[in-house]
This record gives sequence, C-alpha cells and structure tokens, in this order.
Amino acid sequence: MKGVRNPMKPGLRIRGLLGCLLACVCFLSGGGALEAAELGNAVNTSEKMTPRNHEETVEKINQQLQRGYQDRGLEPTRPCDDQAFVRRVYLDLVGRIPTVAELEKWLENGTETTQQRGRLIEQLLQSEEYVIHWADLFDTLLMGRAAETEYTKRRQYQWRGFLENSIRTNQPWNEFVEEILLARPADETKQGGNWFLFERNNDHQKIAEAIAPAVFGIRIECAQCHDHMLVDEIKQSHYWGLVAFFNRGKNENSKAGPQVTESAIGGFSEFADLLGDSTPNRLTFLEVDTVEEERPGKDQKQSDQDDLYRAGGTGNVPRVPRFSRREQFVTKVVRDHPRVARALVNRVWALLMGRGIVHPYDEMDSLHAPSHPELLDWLSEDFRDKGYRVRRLIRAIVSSDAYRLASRRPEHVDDPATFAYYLERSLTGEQLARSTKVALFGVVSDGVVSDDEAVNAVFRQQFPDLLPDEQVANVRESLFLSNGQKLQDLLMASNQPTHLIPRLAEMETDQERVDLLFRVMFSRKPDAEENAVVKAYLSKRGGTAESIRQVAWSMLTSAEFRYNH
Amino acid sequence: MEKIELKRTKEFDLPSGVLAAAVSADSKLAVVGCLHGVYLLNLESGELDRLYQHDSYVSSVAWLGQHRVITAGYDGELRWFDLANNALVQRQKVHEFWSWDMTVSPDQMYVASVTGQYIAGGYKYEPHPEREPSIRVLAAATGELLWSLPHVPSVQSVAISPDSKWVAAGNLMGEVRIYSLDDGSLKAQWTTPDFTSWGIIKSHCYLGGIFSMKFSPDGDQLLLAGMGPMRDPMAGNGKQLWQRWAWRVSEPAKVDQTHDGEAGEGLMETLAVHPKTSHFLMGGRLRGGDWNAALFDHDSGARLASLKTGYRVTEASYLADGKHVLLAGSKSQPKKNKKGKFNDFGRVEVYSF
Amino acid sequence: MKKRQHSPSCDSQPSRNVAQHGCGSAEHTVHRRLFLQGTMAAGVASTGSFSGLFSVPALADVAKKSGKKCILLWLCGAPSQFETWDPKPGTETGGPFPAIPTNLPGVKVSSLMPQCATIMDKLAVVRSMRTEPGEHFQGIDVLTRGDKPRPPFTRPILGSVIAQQLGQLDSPVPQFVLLDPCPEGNEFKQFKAGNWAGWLGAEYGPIRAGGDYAIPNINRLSEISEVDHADREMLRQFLSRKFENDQRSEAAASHNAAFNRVNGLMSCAPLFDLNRLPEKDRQRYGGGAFAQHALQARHLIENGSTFVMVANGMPWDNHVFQHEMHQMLVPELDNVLFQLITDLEDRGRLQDTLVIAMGEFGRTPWLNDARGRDHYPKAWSMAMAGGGIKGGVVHGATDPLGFEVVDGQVDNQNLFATIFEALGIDPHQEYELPGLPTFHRVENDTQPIREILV
Repeated sequence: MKGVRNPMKPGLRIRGLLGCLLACVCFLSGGGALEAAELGNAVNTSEKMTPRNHEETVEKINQQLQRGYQDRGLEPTRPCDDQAFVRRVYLDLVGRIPTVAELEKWLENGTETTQQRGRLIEQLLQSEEYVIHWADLFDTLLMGRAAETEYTKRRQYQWRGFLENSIRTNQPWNEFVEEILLARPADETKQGGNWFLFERNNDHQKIAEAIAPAVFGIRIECAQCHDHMLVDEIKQSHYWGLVAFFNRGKNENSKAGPQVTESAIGGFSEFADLLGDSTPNRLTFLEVDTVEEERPGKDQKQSDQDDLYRAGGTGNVPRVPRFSRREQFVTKVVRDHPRVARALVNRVWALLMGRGIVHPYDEMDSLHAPSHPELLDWLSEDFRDKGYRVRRLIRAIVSSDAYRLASRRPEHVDDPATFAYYLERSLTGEQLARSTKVALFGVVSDGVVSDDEAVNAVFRQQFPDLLPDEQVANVRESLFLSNGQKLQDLLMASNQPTHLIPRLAEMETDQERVDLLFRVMFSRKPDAEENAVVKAYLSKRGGTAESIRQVAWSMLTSAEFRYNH
Repeated sequence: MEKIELKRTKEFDLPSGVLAAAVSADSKLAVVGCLHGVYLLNLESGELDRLYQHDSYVSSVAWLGQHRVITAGYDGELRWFDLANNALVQRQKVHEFWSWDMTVSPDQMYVASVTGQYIAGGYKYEPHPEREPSIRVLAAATGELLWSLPHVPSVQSVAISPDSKWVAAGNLMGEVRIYSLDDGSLKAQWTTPDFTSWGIIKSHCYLGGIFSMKFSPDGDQLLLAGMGPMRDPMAGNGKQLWQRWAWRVSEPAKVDQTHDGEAGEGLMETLAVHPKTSHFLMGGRLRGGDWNAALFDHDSGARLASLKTGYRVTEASYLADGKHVLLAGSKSQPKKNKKGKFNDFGRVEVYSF
Repeated sequence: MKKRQHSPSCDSQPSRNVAQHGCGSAEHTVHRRLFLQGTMAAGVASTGSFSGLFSVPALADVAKKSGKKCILLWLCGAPSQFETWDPKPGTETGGPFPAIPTNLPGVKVSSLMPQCATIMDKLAVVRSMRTEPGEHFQGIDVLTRGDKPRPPFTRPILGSVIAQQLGQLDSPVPQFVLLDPCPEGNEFKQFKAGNWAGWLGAEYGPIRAGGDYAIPNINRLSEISEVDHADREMLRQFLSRKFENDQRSEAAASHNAAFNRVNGLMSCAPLFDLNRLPEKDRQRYGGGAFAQHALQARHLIENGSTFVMVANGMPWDNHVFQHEMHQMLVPELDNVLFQLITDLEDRGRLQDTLVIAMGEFGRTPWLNDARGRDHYPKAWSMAMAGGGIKGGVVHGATDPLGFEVVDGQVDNQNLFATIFEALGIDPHQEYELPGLPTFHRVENDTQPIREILV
C-alpha cells in the first residue's frame, strides 16, 4: 500500500521556513521547513538539508514494510480512523490523550492526507510537552526505574534538566551519548550529564551493564562468568573490557556538583571463567580494536604521580589523566560504532510501533534476527548520515503508513513482527497519570496540588513497565485502580466548574453526558449498545455526581483507556 | 584523664571460658566458674584444681566464709562445696530454668539467685510473664527457701545491698525491682530502656538488658551495666554502658551514666565496686573503641583508667587490699587444634593500680 | 522498566506467562456468571464478603479441591542444630542446654523442644546436611531454589515451582504466599527483592503479607459503598470485555483477567487478617509474629492456597547472644511445629500437607567471643513432616562433637529431590526453554533421601 506523496506548494514552504526561523512552537507545513526545524533553536544554515529527505525516509519505511507483507503473502489491515490516529499520536508524541477541544480541532482539519497529519505531527513535535514526555522515556531507558528518592536526586543534580535540554535542542544522539559517557562537562549547563555514571555509585559492573543496552542495544550480563553461551559474538572479555574502561572512575562531590573523577592508574585485574582459567582484562569491546595500554608487571606497583595527569583544571573540576580510559572509550569505541545508530533506531521504532525491528529491543545480537533487516540497515545509516537527529526519526516513523494501521488484529495475521497491524501497548505510568488528569480536569496539571510530580510519582511507581517483552497486566495494578486512594482522590478533585464531573452534572440529559464521557475518555462516540448501557446506568441513579464518578471510574480503568491502540 | 594505671601482675589460662570468679578473703585463692566446671585457682602458685561441675555452664560463684564455696549454674542448681573436706555438701534445684546470676549477702546470711526464660508473649515478642518465681532467696547456710519473688523474665542480674537488707534484680527489658529481705515487700521499681534492643534489622524481638548490678557503698544508689540499644543486635555494637540510679527516693532517678566519648561498643557483663576508695570497675567485650575494662570515679562518673585485655571480661572482683583487681573472662572457643583438642580459652588475670 | 526482572546472576529469557483468561473450565464460568449477575440492581447481597463467596457450593468445592500443599517454616539466619535437632549435651560444643528423650527410642532432641519430643514419630529429621555456601545470600539462594545459580537460568524458588505444579489457577486465593512481617533483614531483604519466580514468570511469584505487609489496596475504600464498588466494576467489565472482543485484544484480555482476580483477592482479605483467626487458636500457637503467621499459613492452606512460606526476618543468625536468643526462638518453633502438625492431623490434612522447617545452614560447634555461634554449612539439621514423608525417621548422623557428617551425607539437591518426590512432582523433569541448554528441576539426577519418603 503505497503512501501518496503530496507535492509541496512553494508558497507554503517559504512561509514554513520563516515560521521556523522565528523558532519555538509553530505551525509548520512542508518538507524543507522540517529539515530546518530539525536543527533546533540555533539554526545552522550550513547544515541545510536537501528537501524531500523526510519523505524519502518515510517512503523507504513504507516500501520495506510493503515488501515484508508481500514476502509473507499477506495484506496489512486497513488504516485506523481519524480519532484513533489523533489519540495515538498525542500519546506517542506528548504522552497524553488529547483534550476534547484538541480532538475536535484535528477532526475538523481531518487526518486523511499526509499534509494534514504532518501538521498535527509537527505541532506536537515542536511542543514542550514532547520534550517532557520523551525525557520521561529516555530517563527510564537510560537510568531505569527507581525509588522516588532517586527521581528527586535526578532533578536536584540536573540530570533531568540536561536530558530535557538535549531533547529540546534536538541534540545529535551521538553527541549526547559521548557527553554522558565522558562525564567531563564543557560548562555548567552540561553538569547534569555526569549523573548517568554518578548514580551508579562507583559500581563499575553496573555501569557496564547499563551502557551495553543503552548505547549498543545488547545485554552483556550473561558474559560475566563465561563467554555468552548462546550469542557467539559477546565474549567475557567484552564484559570485563567494558568494565575496565570505567573502573578507574570514582564519584566525588564538588562545589560544582557531582563529579566522576578518573585515576591514571589501577583497574588491572584478571577475570576467571567457570573452568577457573583467568584472563587479564584488556580494554576491549565488540567489533573494535583493543585499545592498547601498558600493563604493570606482576609485582610492579603503580604510583599515582602528577605527571600522569594533564596540566590545568580548576579546583572544582577533577584532574584528567593523560591517558584517560573513559576518553579512549568515547573516541575509540563509541565514536562511529555502527551499533550506536542501530540501537537508537530500534529503540525509537519499538517505542512508536510497539515492538522493535529486533525484539527484544535491547538484544540486538546474532540470536535475535531483525524482522526487516534491510529496513533496519537503511534507517540506521540514514540516521547516522543525517546527524543522529532523533526527532527526525520520530517524525519519519509516525508519518509512515504502518503507524496509521488499525490495531484490531486481522484474522489472517498473528505475527506482530510483520507490522501488518498497529501493536497495542499499555500506557506508561506517566502517560496514564497525565491522561487521567486531562480527562478529569481538561488540562494536565491537577489543580489540587501545585506539584504536578506528585501524581506522576504515584503512577510511575505503580506502573513501572516500559517496553515489556509481553503485555501482561498484574493484579497489583487492578487492586490499585479498584481500591487505591490516589485515583479516588483524583476523581474527587474533579470538582471545579470547568472539570469533567461538574460539567457532566450540570448537563440536562443523560445522552449529553454519555456523549461527552466517550469523547473525553475514549476520543470517540459510543456505539448503540454502549450508549444504551451507560445511559441506563446513569438514569437508574439519577445523574448524581457520585454515579457520574462511578462511570468515569469505569472508563478510566477500562482496557480502552489503559492502552495505546 | 587517665589518673590510674592498671598493671597486670598475674595471668592464668583455663581450659574453658570463665563466666564467674570470686576471690577468697585472704586473696590467695579464687574460685572460678567455667563453662564446664568449677575450679579452684591458687593465685600465688597458679595451681588449678577442678573441684566439680554443674550439669551445664557455671554462671556464678561466691565464698561462704573461708572454707565454703557456693555456685550456681545454668542447670538451675545451687551447689555448696566444702574446701576443707574437698566435698560437695549440698545441691539444690532452685529454678526450672537456669540461674542467670547469684549473689551472697555481705553478712553471709542470704543467697539470692535469679532466673527466667525469655518466651514470646506477644506479637512483638514482648516477654511472656514468668512461669516460675524469678527471684529466689535462700538461707545461705542451710539452703532453706526464704523468699520467692516475682519479676518478668529473663532476669539476668541480682545484687544485695551492703547492709544486707535489700535485694535488687534487673531483667532483659531494663526493669529493676528492689525487694526487702526482711519481709519480701517491693520497695522500688523502675525501667530503663537504655540497655535493651528490639532487633529492627533482622530479629524482631528483644535482646540485651541489664547484665550486672552493684549497690553503691552507702547503699542508696544502684549501678547497672549492659549494652546500649542497637538496630541490629546481631552486630553487637551497642554502647558500653553503665547507669547509676538513686533508688531510695519516691521516684527512682538516674543520677549518671557513661560519659560521652568515654565508651566504645560492646556488651558489659560485670561491675565491681571498690571496697574503700570511691571508684568502680566495669568490664565486658570490646567490639569497638579501645577498651573492654575500665575504672570510673564513683561520684563524678569520669573514667579513670582503661584496659584492653584481649578477651571478653565476664567477672571483675577487687581484692581485699584495695590495690588489686581480678579480671576473668573468655576468649573465643577456637576450633580444635592439631591434636584434636580445644585450646584453653578461659582467662584469669590480676591487675594492680 | 522491563517486564522481566534480572536476577543477580544472568538471566535473559522472557517471562513465560500462562494465559489468564477464558480457560473455559466449568468453575471459571460459574465465577464469571456470578460476578456478572452481581449487583447491577441495588440491594443484592454483596459478592465482596468472603463468607458470601463460599455460600455458593460450587465455589466452595473449588477452594477445597484436594491436592498436595506445603508450608515452609523458613528459619532464616540459620538455627543451631545443637540447640534443636542434634544436641551434644555435656560436650565442649554442646552448649548449656541438655537433651531430652523423645517418643522415639534412642533419639534425643534439645531440651528446648519438649513438644516435638512427643511427636517425633511424625517427624523426619535430617542430621546430615552438608552444603556449600556459608554466606547468607548465597545460602538462602541455594536452599530456597534448590541449587546454585546457573546463568542465564534463574531457577524458580520452591514455592513458585509448587504453585505452578500443584496450584489452582481458578482459586481466588493466592497460591504462593510469603508471610514475613520484617521489612529489613540485610541479606534476606536483598533476597526478597530479587526474582523469585525466575523462569516460571512473575505470576508465580509470591503475594507477600504479614505484619505491616498487607496486600496493598486489598480493602475497599471506605468512601465507596459495596454496591457502588461492585456496580462500577460491572460497568468497567462490560466496556472492557466489549473492547477485548471487538478489538480482538490480547492486552485487554490480560487486563480483564487481572481485574477478575480483584474480587477474588478482596474476598480473601479476611484470610490475611490475623484478628479473624479464633482466639483459642491464636493463644495455642503463641503470641509472637512467627507463631501467628504459622497459624495463618495453616488457615491459608485450608482455604485454597498451595504454598505458604513463613519467616520473620533473620532472627536465627546469632553471632551474638546465641543462647539468649535460642532460648526464646526454639521453644516458639517447637510449639509451632507441634500445633501445626497435630492440627493438620486432626483435620485429616497431614498426609496432603508437607511441613518443612529449615534455615540456610547450621551453626558452629564452637562459641565465638561474643557469646555466639557462627555459620556452619558442613554439618547441620532440618526437619519435615506430613505429605509424602515418613515420620519417625532420623536420617544421618554427625560425630560426637558435631563437626562433621559421619553418616548419610546429603545436600540441597538431595533435599529438593526429596521434597518434590514427596509432593508427587517429578524431580528430574526438564524445563523446556527453547534455544537454551537443558535444565532439570533437580540437576545431576540426584536422588531423594529414600529413607524418609513414604
């Protein structure tokens, strides 16, 4: 099913470019403007892209998936309807359901044409909410879920700010990765980047085990005690090599904030396998040459002399070794490593399409074949060649045909790897919190507590999953939704005139109530059966605020609300 | 301010860990209660004789006159031994559970022994009320039972006042009861929580308590010793702690306790009060810090001297001349040596000051 | 962040989940019909009360379906065999407590266990355990999972295996319960945070309760009436099932299945409330938390649970105050075992319920300088009774001072083979893990301790 390309009208394009030069959230249209927008707030005209490049990428995705359908002898399902698309794209790009006003606006515009959808996508991509949502996602992927005390520290020590800023300015992914791995901020605005290493609290194995999936898309835990038993290319020496690159690091608190120092000596050891054979830990990793370094002799003791360090450096900033293992890692291993682009592409694909081209998304090894190898190769190269811009990649994927497909699994298809239908997935804790707030209050802040974070915090602790291998709901979630105080509090807080519950209570007929409820909660109209049932429910109870809250509860906790579909 | 210096003048090894020791009036002999028997140690010659044993660990020993010795054990028995005839003259089961501590009154009329098995009595492992009288007072000469007095188990320490009129008993929960030896009435009762832990970390039950008590020379105050509270009693890192309480007032009040900076960590198991000069000794285990036995000024509470003995001190006893103190205790019971036997792990030492 | 949890050792396979919806069995249909009938009309008796649930005969049968069950008294921290099952009185290592005769001629136990001494004909005691790990975390890992870690396979813990093999999918009562009120516990706390169900998947992990560990959100909020609670759930179900069917959504199916369990779990809330247990029973078992939870374990088993693990932090780890602690802990254990075994026997359940009492190793023959015993995996004891186990047997022996096993040495693999065999589970069954090396429930074809099997 080929996508229809709409040729750009010159007039529109120029307007778009101007609009972009004025920066910030703007209503853009057209391809060239998109590329310029990609360069972030600081427009760098020397990197002006060729127009239609975005479309080339979209076309490639469509083509490759189409070929996949053909190879497997199947047809993809039909596209989803407008309201489903609007809901979907709001959730994926800004982390919440659309308000009724937003929904109605976009339905009025329509979403059938590429251009129409493009406008919606662009508006969302340029918004601050996009930054927040994708910072939530990347924070989880890079740092993992943690107790609320950690989340507080992540803000306090500017990790969160650093991450948001990187997304906001559309910083190239490879640049971002190098910054957080090197942990030598160029200026104080980059201070928060140290937290990636710092939070791991000098546990160098933990650091290695975090870097492997975050940067390279592979898991190496299994190679701690022996070469990976099933994945030939992951060796024990790679595990300990990655550890060695970072094991001279040490956390230190300074006036300028958390620092990760690095010693010029030490970090030499041997690792033993299960047979008891031991090997020295060299600075090595997958698919790169070992970084050579002199090893001290058996009884030779290294002394930490000043001349091993570079000159300069202020009191607040730790001194840097002349031979810095961390720096070697960044320049010799990470830089231009083909897996870096591949890992990011696969991860973003998984976030948007419900499943990576390689699944699980962080096991991109010889044991897990990509469902669409050419597509993955192409997208990775494209991503790399065009400056590792994440937003550009997101834009391309959500503009593809497959992203638009209905989520109802067609009868003849049962393999999600075909992308012949849209893969439903549960909302993250944050998405659920924000969507609940939108539904009950019409806006994202809850109007009850000034700290928005409080609601998000409860939900993210209760619903911690992101990109699980399988969508399995657990009983604790249902108990929370059925009997938890937090949801009840939110329902009760919907009590101002502009909020949902009072608005519904003010209405004259149950029919009006049902219409609004479905609009708000499910972004659609009820069908005849639903209409009858919910109306009857309300009628029997006389349209009291309490009964309205019950209906609101039943919709907030229903499967349809819980999932992105 | 270390005013006093302690110098070791004698040292002896015993085959088994020492839990109790008492010096004869002429300071020549010590009767030593070990895990596995009662020994007579000649402090001058070093000669060691095993006199007899209880059916379990020997927990307390005391002299009765010049020739008799009375001992108590974890078998719940009191035994009287005549040194002159080298014979066990009497044994009496005074408790179902074991005797934690025993003492003989200064006038040698009474012997008091305390017992109590800590049994779970509530959800938080509060002690179950006693299943037998926790305190028994007998006539020292005949063994006739004079008083059976109540308390809450486990009652781990007992003391009798210098005027031989009052018996004090302290337990796991830091509760002290003082009874009259004349009529068995309860004279004073209070609880100090400072010696007891509830194992927040690993063991949700009570541990510790008062392990040693001594009256002041004027009898108006009571010294208590044990270990300060810990979140994880298994770490054994509670403060080395003594407290002094005025008890003859209507509301017993804490007068003093270990001064800040003068104590490390470890269980304190013994107190001894100098017969003439106003200081007392507390001894036990060094878990942290730099001493496990120390002298304290009786009035000011300041530490006067400290010792690191290299073994856990379980008993301290001043010699009659007022210039020496005997310390006894236990090292770790080692694994067997190459010959298949356990090395000696009991210690008795004498220090001069 | 990820659905599958990574254990301290390597673990990279996805969790296998058993479909939790529409199994089509008759009992399940009854469940659904009853709940759907529910309280759409006001005034009908609620389905939210436990007794209400069982006034329906069909459901009562489900809960009382017979099958083997297991209670594990997990004596974490490691009890001293000298003060329990293998006393050496009067020796240098025997400690202060004497030994007492039992109703098994020639067999003695510590004087701290007078009640068990009267029912030794029902107990099987193993005195010849010899295992490797002497450190808590590793010891707990080996003695609760049955074997050392073997990456990338996270061996499921005993309770998860038994819940999976013998558990009742349809029962509203959780099949694997951990009763442990202690939130701390150092190594045990760390262990409790790990991946218990391992390869079997998270739904075979335990529900934790005990003390302040209530199942979160198991009670209806007081601001919601019972009727409203039920009614709104009916509405949610209607909408969600419609979505599930119209969309052919597997995610929704899982979601709805989870909600199905809510009512069941809520109806079980009384099972987790100690105050609902008969006062006489509570007094009989003893006041302490461990004793109370042991009673609760029996109650849970009787009402449909399959495996209950009872612990209370790590109180047995007495490096300091060995005898001061054991004087209290051992009598409590003694009484608990006695009450539990005699209760089960009186109710005709003993042959179907396996009771296990053990820790992760034993304690040293010698005393350290802090009045304590240290860790000792080289020779230690444990005891079992009930389902599949032959009572009145003492297996193995140690030397007179308790340093070494001299007869009948067995290890964790033998023990787990015995437990599985006793419960009618094949000890050597292979785990099917596509693409991974072969794993067995018990490795190396290790044999059970035949002497103590019925």
